[in-house]
Amino acid sequence: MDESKAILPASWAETVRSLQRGFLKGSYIRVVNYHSTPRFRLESYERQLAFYQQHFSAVGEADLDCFFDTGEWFKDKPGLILNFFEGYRNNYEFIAPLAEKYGFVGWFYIPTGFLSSPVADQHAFASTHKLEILTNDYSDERIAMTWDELRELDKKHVVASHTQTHERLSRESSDEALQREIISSKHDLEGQLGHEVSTFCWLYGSEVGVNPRADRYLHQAGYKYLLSNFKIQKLKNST
Amino acid sequence: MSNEAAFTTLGASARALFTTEQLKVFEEAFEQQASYCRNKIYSEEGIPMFLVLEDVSEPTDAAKPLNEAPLETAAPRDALFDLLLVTAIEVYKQQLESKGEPLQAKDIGLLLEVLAEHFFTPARSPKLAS
Repeated sequence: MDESKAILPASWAETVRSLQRGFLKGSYIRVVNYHSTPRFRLESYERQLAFYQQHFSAVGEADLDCFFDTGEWFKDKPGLILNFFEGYRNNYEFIAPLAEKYGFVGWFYIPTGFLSSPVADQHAFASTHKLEILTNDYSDERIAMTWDELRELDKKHVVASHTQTHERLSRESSDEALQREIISSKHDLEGQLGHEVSTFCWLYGSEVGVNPRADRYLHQAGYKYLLSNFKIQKLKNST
Repeated sequence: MSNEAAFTTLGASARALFTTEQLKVFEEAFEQQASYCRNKIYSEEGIPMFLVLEDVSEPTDAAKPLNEAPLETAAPRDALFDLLLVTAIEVYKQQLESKGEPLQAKDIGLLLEVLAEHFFTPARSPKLAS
């Protein structure tokens, strides 16, 4: 995630203090954030995942639920979440099989408009919606995973909303934009997957409290978790 | 002692253990790791991070004083590591603040990235560091 444009919930020092309190309680988790995962980096990804397998255990939503419910971690090794942002085709084709080989659960953050975009328009969508493609592995025009591929991933991994159009939401965003990016994106995923989607992440990763209007939409949508730059927060409306 | 004062004392005590020259070594080590992190290609490489798990479904939880909050962990409890992590953050936080430059979210991100890169990635293992 990009922290350069994130808005902090409090002063710089107070924000660090808040994080330190979490660390001192042991209330934290390790994550690795990935975006595009091109073929030529597979060897490097595999070395990383082989190392992680030795030291850490997979984390699914049920594990996170259990932690928040009980305050305890029931696995032998610390948890490690692998986050994959944007729904790239090369996530499905290259790194997801590796994650599975090493026993990890990937958390796939999907801007639903990218997957719904016609193949011929996907490069244009990417370039106009802050989706960076440095290395293109494909001779055809498809760079997003398909909905069928996402449904396949959904059997073993976690699928989360990352807005509909990958638009930055600010305090000045219209209600229409908040509705589209926060609520409609959830409906898009749930319609395609056939089950509830519980986790959301917006661009630039601000946490709850920074944008109260957007928070109300998170509440209305019924999300359970918000992933931000420095936290995973269990939200108010969650049961 | 309040949490705020305790953290400041923690950082000040840690820094007081070292000479200026030794602190300089830490600063250089941090900068070396930070430089490695800054040069990573975020759009293609895996970026390790520590994320705090926070329950805001209970309005008062985040505001609880540390000594009243239940101990929670998403790992087998490693209190020593947690203390080292918090101390390292405090030392480097004070180091950044001492430069007098305006600090932003990306500075926190870099601080956590540097520690994550050091503490839980293959780079620590020479055979895997290529």
